[in-house]
Amino acid sequence: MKKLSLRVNIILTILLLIGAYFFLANVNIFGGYWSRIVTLIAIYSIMAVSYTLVNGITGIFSLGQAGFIAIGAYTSALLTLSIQQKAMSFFIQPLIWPLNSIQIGFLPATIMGGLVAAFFAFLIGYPSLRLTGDYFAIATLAFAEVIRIFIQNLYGITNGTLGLKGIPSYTNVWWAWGWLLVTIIVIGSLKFSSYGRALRAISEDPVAAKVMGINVFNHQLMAFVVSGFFAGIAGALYAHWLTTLDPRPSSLGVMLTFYVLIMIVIGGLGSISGAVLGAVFFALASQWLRIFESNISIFGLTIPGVPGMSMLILSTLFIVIMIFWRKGIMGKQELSWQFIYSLARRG
Amino acid sequence: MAENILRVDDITIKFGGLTAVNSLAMHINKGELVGLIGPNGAGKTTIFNVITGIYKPTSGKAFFKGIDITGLKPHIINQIGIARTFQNIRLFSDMTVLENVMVAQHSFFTDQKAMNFLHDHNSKKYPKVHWKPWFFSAILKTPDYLKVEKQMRIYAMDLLKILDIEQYIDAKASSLPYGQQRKLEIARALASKPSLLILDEPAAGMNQRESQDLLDTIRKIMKDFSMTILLIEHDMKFVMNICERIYVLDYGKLIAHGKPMEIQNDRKVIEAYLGDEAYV
Repeated sequence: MKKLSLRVNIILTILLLIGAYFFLANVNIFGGYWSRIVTLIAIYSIMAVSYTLVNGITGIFSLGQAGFIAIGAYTSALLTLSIQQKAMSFFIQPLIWPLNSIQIGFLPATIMGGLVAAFFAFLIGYPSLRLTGDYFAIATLAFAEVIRIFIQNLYGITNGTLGLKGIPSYTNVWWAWGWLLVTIIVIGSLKFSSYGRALRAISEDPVAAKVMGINVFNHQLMAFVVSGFFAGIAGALYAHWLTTLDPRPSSLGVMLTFYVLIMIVIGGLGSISGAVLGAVFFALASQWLRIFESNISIFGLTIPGVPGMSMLILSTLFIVIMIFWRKGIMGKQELSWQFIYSLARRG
Repeated sequence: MAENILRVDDITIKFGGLTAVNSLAMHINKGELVGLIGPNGAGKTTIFNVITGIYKPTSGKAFFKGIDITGLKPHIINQIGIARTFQNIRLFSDMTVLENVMVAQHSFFTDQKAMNFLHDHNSKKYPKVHWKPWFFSAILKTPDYLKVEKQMRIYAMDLLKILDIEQYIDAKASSLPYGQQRKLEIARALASKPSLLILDEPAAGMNQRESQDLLDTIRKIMKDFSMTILLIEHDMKFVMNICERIYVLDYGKLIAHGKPMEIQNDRKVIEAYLGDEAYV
């Protein structure tokens, strides 16, 4: 098989970036609705790529992703909300000092969201990574739920069940896709480094990895913290995309973890490009399938819309994909120009 | 030159009520090739798991180069200088042959703990290693990281050449023929630059030609790396051919110890393998 030269790879990548730039710069011509969807795709992608670092590449089954996303979302939102807005929203119990008297820019707030989430990832990972397999999954699932319940009840910090309103809608196409680019570069660079090899070795055989001199616990914890950081970033972007936050299980609770899990399983566990493809698929499918929730008429036949129908069809689609692509769309492979080239040659 | 590289003192391992190894004492000198044999379930692999830190012994101690290694973590023991292969091949099967070998060199980036452990033990011989943010260098692909990565690649290629499997470099480890997988496991173990190599049934499931090939490979490694090797093997011809000294275990107890010729004629060993005379 012919190998594409480095120069061809670089030229194609630059062309892709230019193409992406023009697409994103002109996404508004499709209307505000589509520009919001394109932004959401990037946010979902960041969640999925950070999640696949833990569940795919390192091979530890965590179910706590929504917890880190929620921490990132609340941290950043509390930092960017205007002081007047905070005073207005927190009427049951006033916001504690110093949060009630600061307001910072979007970029530092996003980074703070990531750092706080990474710190929590360390706190959770340190004790629970001593567990393995299903036990670890349950521990992280419980952790995410604990976070949500804390958010629900800490009125002095999170405004409890009333949630946060009036978050400035800073997240636009550029912020979201810019952060996605950073996420892919960092996690991709990590995957294709000596550390990434060690992580993949751990996912295949922890005992052999240990005997080959790899400190399995440290490496798992490192992957967990990096993943937590980017989940926090995604949460911050998500908060400024939604502009309101509340601690219902269906918004920042366990449902979100399962959505992201679906994305990375569809894309292929352990593949970064697969995670992005999964996120694109999920975001588009969940929008398009909304048409089934309203009345449709085909050939004079009217099918009544049923609420929740889109989720049902999405689940069916998910099962069908899993039957035909056991390892997800990409498996463990990455989408590269070489991959596309050989696919085109074969097809 | 009878310097002990490994010494095992009165090691006992109990799993619940079962005594897998009963106060075993053995030693290996530098540059030696020692065999550990015994019928199935005699506790050979258990001993290996204790030496490499996977199990903790119930009592007794193991010393490597005079350092007490009992109860140390497996990755530290590996970094101090013991590498092993497994009875049932445990390669990273989804990774390429080259990646498998390079993984074993990863501890270069994280070896501060092991090196400082050695430093505490003997500060003259082992310098103190200072912490470097290798993790960030790896993400940012800084020049000093890329230099180390390149060295790793070159060393891995050399090892694959020495073991004569360099034609498989980009193949998935699981796609290799059985005999070559065994060799790859040895290459991976060598990549961590050990001074003691432990081979767990390297010739298991091999035909005559493959096992002859392996024999030559082991001799070559002994010579090229001036390696000390401890091996478990069932193939008697293989063991008698290659080992300088042999320990025989039965039901967790040492029943014989000596040169291959002595072992072959030992009554206890024959009994352990073939049963009591009454049954013969």
